[in-house]
This record gives sequence, structure tokens and C-alpha cells, in this order.
Amino acid sequence: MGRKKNVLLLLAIFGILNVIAYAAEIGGTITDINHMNSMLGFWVVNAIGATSIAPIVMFFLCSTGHVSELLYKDSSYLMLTVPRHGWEILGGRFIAGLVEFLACAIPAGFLLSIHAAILLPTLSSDRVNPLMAFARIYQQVFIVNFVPVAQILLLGLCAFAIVGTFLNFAVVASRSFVKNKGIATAVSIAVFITVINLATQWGGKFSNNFNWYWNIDSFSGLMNNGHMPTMAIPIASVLFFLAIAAALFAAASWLMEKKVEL
Amino acid sequence: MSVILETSKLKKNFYAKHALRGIDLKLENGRILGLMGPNGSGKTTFLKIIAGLQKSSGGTFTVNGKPAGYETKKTVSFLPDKNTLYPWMSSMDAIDFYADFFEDFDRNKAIDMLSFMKLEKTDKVKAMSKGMIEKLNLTLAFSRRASLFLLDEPLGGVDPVSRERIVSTIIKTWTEDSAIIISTHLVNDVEQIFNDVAFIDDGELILTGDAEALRIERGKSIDQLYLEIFANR
Repeated sequence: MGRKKNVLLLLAIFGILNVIAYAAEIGGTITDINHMNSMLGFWVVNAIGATSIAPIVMFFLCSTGHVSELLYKDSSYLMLTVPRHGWEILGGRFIAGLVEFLACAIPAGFLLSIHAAILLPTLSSDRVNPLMAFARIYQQVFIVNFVPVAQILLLGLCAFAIVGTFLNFAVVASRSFVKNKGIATAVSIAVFITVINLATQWGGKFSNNFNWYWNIDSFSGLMNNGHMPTMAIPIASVLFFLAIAAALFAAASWLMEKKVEL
Repeated sequence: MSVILETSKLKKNFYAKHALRGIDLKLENGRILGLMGPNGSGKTTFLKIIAGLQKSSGGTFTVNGKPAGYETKKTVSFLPDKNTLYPWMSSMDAIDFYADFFEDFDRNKAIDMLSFMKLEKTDKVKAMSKGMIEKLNLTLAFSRRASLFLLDEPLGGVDPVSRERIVSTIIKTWTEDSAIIISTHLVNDVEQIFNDVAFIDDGELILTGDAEALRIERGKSIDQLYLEIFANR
């Protein structure tokens, strides 16, 4: 319930900031967007900035399922006495974290799409009103470019799982062997950065050597039917990360069950 | 009689500190063991190891013949010495949590015990006093059909009326199939329910035995025995 309240509070803040920004944008587009009042511009920049940055922060916080809280707070007594295997606890927290992230990211995406719908027509040569622009955005995303969008979302889900697993392993491993929270946190971050760097380097080299790339089809442009370049994702890196993530999940689960203690 | 808990040379070290120095203990079904000792003697460490919250540095233990791990957590119910419930939880939320995670949890018994403890289903943990939280935690712990109940200072910081209620609950919940370990400083309030006692100091058991036999042999109450043993240590 505590986390649910936090999410609702965050969404309420998004809502208020963005409604003010919409009013500023609509006012600006009616008069002249290039000469928008600096006060109103402040709200627009802040609303778009906060709504864009918060989901990125939530991505990292939620991907771990807040397992570090589990390991350092008194309420961890509860979770460590329940008859559940380590993989059940970590897997369950991951799913809860994913739901929490989506609860923030989807509304944030929707709010940003409204900004795009209001602002894009003023920056493009097409004579469309915001409502038509809004409809066109969703048409582009969910119909015209459905396959590349789905591919990108799948990659995003993999990234969420990989980041969460890597961070969780770092946290659980340091908690198992290092009792001081400050030192354990520093060790976790160092392990996380080291493993990510190594995996990126090795995966990239492998993909280059064997030319293993996953090409995500070019997007149709939103307004002018322009095309964006094809995205070439190195497959070896993705598979490498997923394999390491699976191994680290198994290791973290084992540590959770056999080594972690209060 | 079957052995519910058996420990063999159970040890726990925290860096250079020896919290437990090889505890050998056997507890049979239907027995209530009073685990007594001064602060820092190792009582809580011992209970946490049995509950699965800490790992031993040496030695072994079994619960119903099963070694420490996933299986023992199914049959051990632990009441810690501090609140572990989330502040946002209500009494019903806590009952739902336990019902979700423990197969042996009796929801109806928990609700009945809640009324006995004079707690409301909708009371939030963050609004409860220490005594109320203790009663809620006891309700949750004793609503399980566990083989082994571990109560760490169940009477600490609680008013005399609540203490009486807690002791009554312990007596009501006791069954022939299970065993209970109670660690406490308030020996006088609970010694009448102990079948066995174990005195621990500096990680070692210094005296164990049948409570009544000790009273007769030493001509003293367990409380007086406690004072005699630890006053000069």
C-alpha cells in the first residue's frame, strides 16, 4: 500500500505539472510559440523534463523490485521467514517492480504524447489540429509501426530484466558477504558497473566478428513520412547479457536462500 | 514423545565475537521451554538461527528431523522482539499476508484471536501502541499450526493486563503436537507455564532441565534461580 500511494502521488504530480504545461502550450500556440512567455515556458520545460526523466529513474529503481529494502529493513524479517525459495522472492519482486514501472511509464508516455500532439503541428508544415495530430501519433505507433515498436518494447523488457538482475545480484552478493550497508552499496555499484562494461565489450566484439545484428525496420515519420535509419542491435550482446542475467539470477536466488542473513 | 527441535554444537560468530559457542539442545513435542539469560547472552541469535533469519557458523539443527532451510521454515513460527509488519498494514492486511504465505495459517483462528486481544481489523500498524503491535504479532504467530513456536521477548514493554492476555493466549494455543520456546527477562510472569528451562550466558548453556525438577532440587522458583545464577556473573 505504501508503494501504491507513492505511485499515485507521482502520477498526481505529473498530472498537475502537465495540465499547467498544456495550458501554456495551447496559449503559446494561439499567440506565437516562439515568443512564449518565459514563465509559461518554465512550466512546459519542467513538465516535459520531469515526465521524461522520472520513468528513467523509475526504470532503475523498479527493475530490482526494491530488493535492497528487503535486505536492510526490519520488515525483511517477514520475507526471510516465509517458506519460499530465493527465486520465488526475487522473481515476485521483479514482477511487482515491472508493474510499478509500467504504472508510471504508461501514463508518462500518454502525457508526453499530448505535448507532442499540441506542439508538433506548430513545428511542421502539415495543417493538422492537435486532435488529429494525437490520433496520427497513435496510428503511427500502434498500427503503421507496430512491428518495430513491439521489437523495441521487447528489447526494453530485456533491458529491464537485465539491469534488475545485475543490480540484484550485486546487492544480494554484497549483503551476503559484507555486513556494513555503506560498503555493501559501494561494492554493489562497482560490481554492477564492472559486469555491465565487460559484457558490453565482449558482446560487441562477438557481434562485430560474426556480423550478428538484429535490424529493426525503419520507422515511418510521424508527420512528413520521413524515414529514420535502421537500428542495428548487436545480437551477441543481447544474448550475452541475457545469459549472464540468467546465471546471476540463479546465483542471487541461491545466495538469498543460503547466505543472506539479518 | 517425538523430538521437535534438536541442535548439535550450534555456533555463531560475528567476526571475533562468539555469540553461540556450541549449543546442544533437545526439545520434545508438548513442551514449553523458557530460554533465559542476560542481555547479549545469545538468546535472540539462537532463535533467529532456528527461524532461518541467520545462518550458523558451525553445528547443525533439525526441526522434525529436517535440516535447516526451506522445509523448516514451513513448520517454525517466529515472533521477533521487534515489529516487522509494514506500517501501512491494517490487522486484516497482516492476516491476509500470513494467509498468503503460510499454508498452515488459520485465518478464522486469527480473526477470533484478534477479538480476544481487543484489536480492530482496520487498525493500522502505524497507529498502534507497542503493546497492540505485540498482541497482533502474537496473534499472527499463534494462528499457524506450526510444530515449533519461537517467541522472542513476547512480554517486553507490555502492560501487565496485556501480559496476562498474552500468557493466556500461549496456554490456549499450546498443543501436544508442537513445542514452544520463550525467551524472556520477565521470568516471574511466565515461569508457571515452563516445562523446561535453559539458562544461557555468553553463548553457552550453563543450566538446562525440567522446570519442576529444578524447583524441587534447588528449593527455589525459576525467577530466584535466575537471579542467583546471573547476579554474580
